[in-house]
Amino acid sequence: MINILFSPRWFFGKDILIDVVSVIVLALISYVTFRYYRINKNKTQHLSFSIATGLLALSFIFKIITNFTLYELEMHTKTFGLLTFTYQTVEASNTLFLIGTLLYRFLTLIGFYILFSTYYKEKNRSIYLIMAYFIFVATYFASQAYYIFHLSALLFLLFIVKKYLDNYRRTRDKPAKLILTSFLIILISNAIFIFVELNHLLYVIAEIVQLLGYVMLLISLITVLRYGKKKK
Amino acid sequence: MGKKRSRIEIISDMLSAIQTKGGRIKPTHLMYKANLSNEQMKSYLEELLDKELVEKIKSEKDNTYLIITDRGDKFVQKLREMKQFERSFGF
Repeated sequence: MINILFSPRWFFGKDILIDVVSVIVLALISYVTFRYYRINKNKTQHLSFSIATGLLALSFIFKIITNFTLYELEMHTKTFGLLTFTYQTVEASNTLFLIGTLLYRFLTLIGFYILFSTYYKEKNRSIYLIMAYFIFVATYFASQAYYIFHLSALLFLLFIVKKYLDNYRRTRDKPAKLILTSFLIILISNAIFIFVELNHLLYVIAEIVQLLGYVMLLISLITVLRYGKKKK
Repeated sequence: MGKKRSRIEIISDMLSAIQTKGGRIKPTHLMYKANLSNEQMKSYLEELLDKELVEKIKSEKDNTYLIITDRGDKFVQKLREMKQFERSFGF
């Protein structure tokens, strides 16, 4: 049996709201970059960035659905306390939860991988197969060891943050600094998620840090667009 | 030698050149300002006219001028935003 509930009861629903904010920010970025791709179809980086952020948004939608189902179930169990009824619900929800969780993890890792490959171009196609294998392993076996999933995401994020750091050093402009900070915060939230099994309060902290990261990313996007408007 | 400009960069340069001239320019001036050959000018201008980003008008002295449309202004704005986005996200 896998440990499926990391949120303290008092935090139920609040984490869902945080994930909704993340979905909105990611979907917005995906939409903006897709519009840029339509302007200049020769620049495939726009398309891969749009796909990556779109997949990350979708992954959060799966997380929201599974968490919502789980919290509903938890509430029903506590309210009614009917043993047989609860048991059947658990069985049905477990399957839904498992599928939802696997999809959430798979899409997150694929999303981060595409984001990673937007910056680290690999011409050798066999690398894609190897990466697909590792993403599958990290997704599937994370059922037994939850931290593997966040550790894998952290690894991708480390390389992505490195690129943003290099870019900031090169450009020295404010939007680039904000983007670097946002992804650094998202990276920190992933690092905290690794340890949530030790203490459920860490889940609350990780979610709040995640919220901070995505709000910062939204501010970055607004700043980028404003800077673009100002330029002549 | 500088990097070869992409199609979108040439269009951006053409529209920006019209904007810096107050939204109105003679075709020959545009050709020099945007660093284009005669052939390039013909082909790109056709595209700009086709997409209604610029319009051709005649002055009282029968000179041809190119003016940037509202659509063209908005397009230049979008291109600037895109450029800033690429710079900030390190594309």
